[in-house]
Amino acid sequence: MMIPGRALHRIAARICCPKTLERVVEPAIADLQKEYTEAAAGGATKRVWTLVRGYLAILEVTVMCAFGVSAATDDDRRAIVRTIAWTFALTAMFVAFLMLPPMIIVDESFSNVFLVGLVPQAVPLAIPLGLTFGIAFGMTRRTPTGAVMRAILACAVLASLVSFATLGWVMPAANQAWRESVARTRGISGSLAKGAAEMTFSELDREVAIAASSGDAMTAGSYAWSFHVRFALATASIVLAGFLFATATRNAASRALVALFACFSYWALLYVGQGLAGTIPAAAGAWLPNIVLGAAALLIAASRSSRLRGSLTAAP
Amino acid sequence: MDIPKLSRTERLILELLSGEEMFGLQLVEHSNGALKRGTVYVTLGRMQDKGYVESWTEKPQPGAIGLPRRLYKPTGYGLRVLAAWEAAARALAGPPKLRPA
Repeated sequence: MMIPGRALHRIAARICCPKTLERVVEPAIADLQKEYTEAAAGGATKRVWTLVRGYLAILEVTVMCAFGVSAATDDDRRAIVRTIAWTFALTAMFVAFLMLPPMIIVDESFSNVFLVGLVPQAVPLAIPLGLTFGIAFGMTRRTPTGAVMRAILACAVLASLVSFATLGWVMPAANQAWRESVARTRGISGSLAKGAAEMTFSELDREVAIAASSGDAMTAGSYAWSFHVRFALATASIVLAGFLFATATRNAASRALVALFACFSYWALLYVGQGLAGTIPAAAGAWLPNIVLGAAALLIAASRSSRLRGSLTAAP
Repeated sequence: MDIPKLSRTERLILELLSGEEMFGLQLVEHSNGALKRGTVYVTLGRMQDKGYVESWTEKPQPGAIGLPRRLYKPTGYGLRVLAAWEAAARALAGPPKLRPA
């Protein structure tokens, strides 16, 4: 009989420390294996149900250990859960808000299913906004500890991966499908020429090469900026989360103000970078917000750390 | 002096283990839904770090396949912490009774 959990054990062995593996993951796998052996005498449904429940539990355990949540206190875990819940709720709210402008221009002939095509262009902007304000509201009346910061930054990395996949592949395809649907309802048939937002990475790269070879530096710069900004925007969640943690205050109102300031600065710098695309390299323009806010976060964190060391040294 | 902390989940685990030693899955089954499969092992690991419970793997049965299961029982310290928290809960239960003037 095949014993479940071996692959999960190998995965957990790579991402968890030996102590966690022995004390937390292996008991979960051993219990699943025992339960599965007992369920083997029953029907196929019982076996599958046992496997699904067991695998989900072990995955949860492994993820908690990998993100350091298992080492966190109950207060930390509550702060992490609260921050993630706020992030999801605010991201959904920002998606709905960002979908309003295109929804205003469509008429009643468009179905609700059609409007779903607008979601991919809102998601990459809504995720960093949702996470930034999620941190501000989720850390109510507390200074984030190391375990909380590690867990939330791991979530920010996951959010960045989702943003990157959306910006790179889902958004271009959804945008083009949406434009063609709009064109069809207006009686225009055939495929529409793609704009920068509808192009994939390879298509943007090709347009940059074509524009550069024909001597059109402005168009080449514009396409190059569109290419690089997708990478920069995808990592905005990490940069903004880092900025919020660096400037962490216990006061909820000032944290919300810092979140507002960080988001506003990011988008303002994004436009400044786009405007400078012809003057400075397109990559530098696209990464300008990340560079400025990232550097500010590092400076603030370093300054706080040295102040804390100074006050500890000065203590009698 | 630091007073040992005992969360609601840790208290429930100590209460369940005070009767008999159990496996993680048994604790989930005996808790009537209060303990979740995904978190009970993490909580047990943390309780071991705090010294509230101790654990060991069962002796492998002849012909058994798979990993050996881990059994848990409370330590003397864990039981003392539980008793102290229960005493504190009893002492603080209900509003104070005021005597008529």
